[in-house]
Amino acid sequence: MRRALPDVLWTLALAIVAALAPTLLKAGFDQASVSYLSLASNAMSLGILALSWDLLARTGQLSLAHAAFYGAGAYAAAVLANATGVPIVLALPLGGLVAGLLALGLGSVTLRLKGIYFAIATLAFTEVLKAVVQELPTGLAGGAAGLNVPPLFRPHFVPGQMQRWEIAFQRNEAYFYVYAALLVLTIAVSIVVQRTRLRAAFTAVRTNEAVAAVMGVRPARAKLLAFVLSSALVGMLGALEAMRLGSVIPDGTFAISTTVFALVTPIFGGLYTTLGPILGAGVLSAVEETLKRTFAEGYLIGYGVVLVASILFMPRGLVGLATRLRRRRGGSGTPAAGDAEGPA
Amino acid sequence: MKRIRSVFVLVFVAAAVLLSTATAQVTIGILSPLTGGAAGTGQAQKEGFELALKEINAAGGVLGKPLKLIYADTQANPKVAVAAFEKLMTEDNVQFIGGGYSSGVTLALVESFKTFQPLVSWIGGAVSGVGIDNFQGIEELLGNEPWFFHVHPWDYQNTEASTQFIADSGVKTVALLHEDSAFGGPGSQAAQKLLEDAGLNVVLNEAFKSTLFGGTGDFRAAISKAAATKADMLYWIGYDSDVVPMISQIRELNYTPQQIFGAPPGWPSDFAKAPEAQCVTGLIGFMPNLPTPEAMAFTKSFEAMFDKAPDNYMSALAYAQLWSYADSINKAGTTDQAAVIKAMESLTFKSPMGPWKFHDSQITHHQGFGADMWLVFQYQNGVRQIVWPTAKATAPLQSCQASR
Repeated sequence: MRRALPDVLWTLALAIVAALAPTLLKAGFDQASVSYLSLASNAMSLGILALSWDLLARTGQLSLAHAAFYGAGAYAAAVLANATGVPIVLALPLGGLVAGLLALGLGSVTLRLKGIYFAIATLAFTEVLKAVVQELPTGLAGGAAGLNVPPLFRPHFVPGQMQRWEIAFQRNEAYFYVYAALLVLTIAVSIVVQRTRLRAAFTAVRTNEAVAAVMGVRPARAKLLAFVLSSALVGMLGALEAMRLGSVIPDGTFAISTTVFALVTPIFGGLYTTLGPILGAGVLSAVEETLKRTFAEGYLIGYGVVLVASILFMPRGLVGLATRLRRRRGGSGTPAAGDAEGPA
Repeated sequence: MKRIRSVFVLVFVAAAVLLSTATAQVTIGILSPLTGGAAGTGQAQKEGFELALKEINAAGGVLGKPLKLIYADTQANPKVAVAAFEKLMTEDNVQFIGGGYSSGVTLALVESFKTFQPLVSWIGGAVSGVGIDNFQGIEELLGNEPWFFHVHPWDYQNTEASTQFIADSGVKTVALLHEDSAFGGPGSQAAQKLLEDAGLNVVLNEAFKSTLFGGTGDFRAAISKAAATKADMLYWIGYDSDVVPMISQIRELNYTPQQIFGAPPGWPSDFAKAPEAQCVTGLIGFMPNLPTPEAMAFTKSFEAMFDKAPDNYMSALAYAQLWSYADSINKAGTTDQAAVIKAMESLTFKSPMGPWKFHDSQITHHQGFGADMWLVFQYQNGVRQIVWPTAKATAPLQSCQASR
C-alpha cells in the first residue's frame, strides 16, 4: 500500500489542478481561456485513449481495434439519444458497457492468437464493425450519413448579462470536467492494475505465457480482463466525444487514426506505465500546438522530427528517459513502473 | 480657459475615436484543412485566397486598409477544428469566418458557430440533410441562421447536375458504382432516384470501398458486375485517389460502355496524358480552359502567381468567397455585421465561374453556387475538353465506343 502512495498523490494533485484549471485559466487569460480549455480537453482525450490502450498492451497484446471500441461507444450514445427518451447523461456508461461487452465477445475468440495474428484480427474487427453499423437500418444507425447526437451541455445565453464567449466558456468548462473525471477513472484503473497482483499476472503473460501458466496465472483470463477494461474506458470516451462533436459518421467515428494515436502516444511517453501515456499525451499535445502556432503549416515536420528522435533516443519513452537521467545522477535508482521490462 | 480646455479635450477624443475606426484593419479567419488527409483541398483553397488577397489589397484593400487573413488548420478533424475556430474567435478576435471543408467538421462546428455567431461564409460541407430521414444536415441546422452563408452547391444540387448531364448524353441504361461512405452512399441513392425520375434505367447500384478510407484499390469485382449489365454508361462516385485504379481496371477488363462518367471531388492533374484517360468524362466545378473572360483572367493570374494551372476548383471557390467578403464590407462601409449581411445579400460578385450572388436554395436564403456551377469535361487526345453544358462546351461529347 505504501508503494501506491506516490501514485495516489500525483493523481490527487492532477485532480486538484484539473478542478482549479478553468477558474485559473479564466482569471489569467479571459476569453482566450475558451480555446485553451478545448485544447486541454483534447489533450485529456488523447491521454484516456493512450492509457486505456496501454492496459491491454501490458499483457503483450497489440490491439488495433481501439477505433472499433471508440466507435461502438459513440454509436451507443447516438442510438440511445435518437431511439429512446433516456437522459443523454446515461450515454457515457452505456458507451462503456457496449464497448466492454463487444470486447468480451471478441476477446473470447481472438485472445488466444498472439502477436501479429491478434493485431490483424483486431484490425479486421474494426472494419467489420464499421461495415455492420453502416448496414444497420438507417432509422436506427443512420447508414453512411450517420446520426446527430444532442450535446451533453448547452448553456443558455442571457442577452445583456453575459458575453457570447462566456457561453462557450461554460460549455467547455463542463466538458473539461467530464474529460478530467474520465481521465481520473482511467488512471485509477491503471493504478489498481499496477499495484495489485494483476501487474505481476499481466507482466508474466507478456513475458512468457507458458511460464505464467505454470505460476498459476490464467493467461486467457488475464488478457480478457485487460481487453474488457481497456475497451470499456475508450467506449466511454467515444460516447463523450459523440456528444461533444454533435454527430457520428462511420468513416470518422471508426477512423483508423484513433488507433494510431492510441498506439503512438504510450510508445512516446513510456509503455506499461500509468504516467507514460499521460505524460506522452500532454507533451505531444503541447508540442503540436506550440509548433502549429510558431511555424503554421511546417509544424508537421517538427512534430515528425520529435517523434522520430524519441524513437531513436528514448526507446522506453519519456518515463524511461527520466529514469535513466535519475540513475545517471546517482538518484534513487528505482526504475519507473514497468521500465525494467522495456517495450519489447 | 476652462472652456478652451474642454473643447480641446472633446476634439482630441473625437479625433482619437475617428482615428481608431479608420485604422482598424479588417481580419478574416480562415478555417481550412491545410494538413492531414484533405490537405490537397486546403492548399488549393489557400492558393485561391492568396491570389484574391493580393488583388484586393492592390485595389485598395478593405475600408482603406490592407485586408488580413489568419489561417487556422482544421486537419479535417472535428476536434481540431472546434479548437481552431475558438482560437480565431477568442484569441485573434476575428468577426468574419471563411474557408470551410468537410461535412463532419462542419457538423462539429454547429454548436460553436451558434454560440459566437460571427458572420460565416462557408465553402464546403455539402451534406444538406434534405431527403435524409432521421438526420439533420448542414443546411437544415444552419440554413436559417442570418449570419450563415454557404458557397459550394449542396449535395442535391451536385446530383441534379450529374443527372442532367446523363440525361443529355443520350444514354438509356446506367450502371452505378459508388464508394460506401457518407459521400457516395446517400449520393448514389439520390442519383438513382433522380435518374429513374428522368426516365433512365439504373441497372446496377453497387458499393465499393474507396482507397481514401483504406480500400485496396481493387475495383475489378464491381467493374465486372457493371460490364455484365452491358449498360450504356458506367457512372461512378468516388474520391480523387480512386480515379487511377478505377479507370485503369476498366481498361484492363476491356469494358467499353458508351460513356464512363465519374464524379470525384477532384481529378489527378496529369491524368490527361495517360492513354487510358481517353473519352473518360468527369464532373468538375471549374476548368482553366473555360472560355469566359473571368475564367481566363483568373487562370492567367493564378499561373503567374503559382506557376501552375488552377486544376482544383476549390481555388476558384476560395477566390470567389474572399472577393465577396471584400466587396460586401467595402459596400457596407463598416464591419457592422448587420450592414455586411445586407450587402452580401444584395451584391453580385465576380468569380472565375462568372457573376454570382447569394440566393435561395431548399432551406437557406444564402446559397452561393448551385447546380449550374458544374461542368462536365472529357479527356480527348490528352486535353480536358468541356463537353457540358453545351453553352460552355469547348468540344462535342464523344462516345467511348467510337474511339475504340
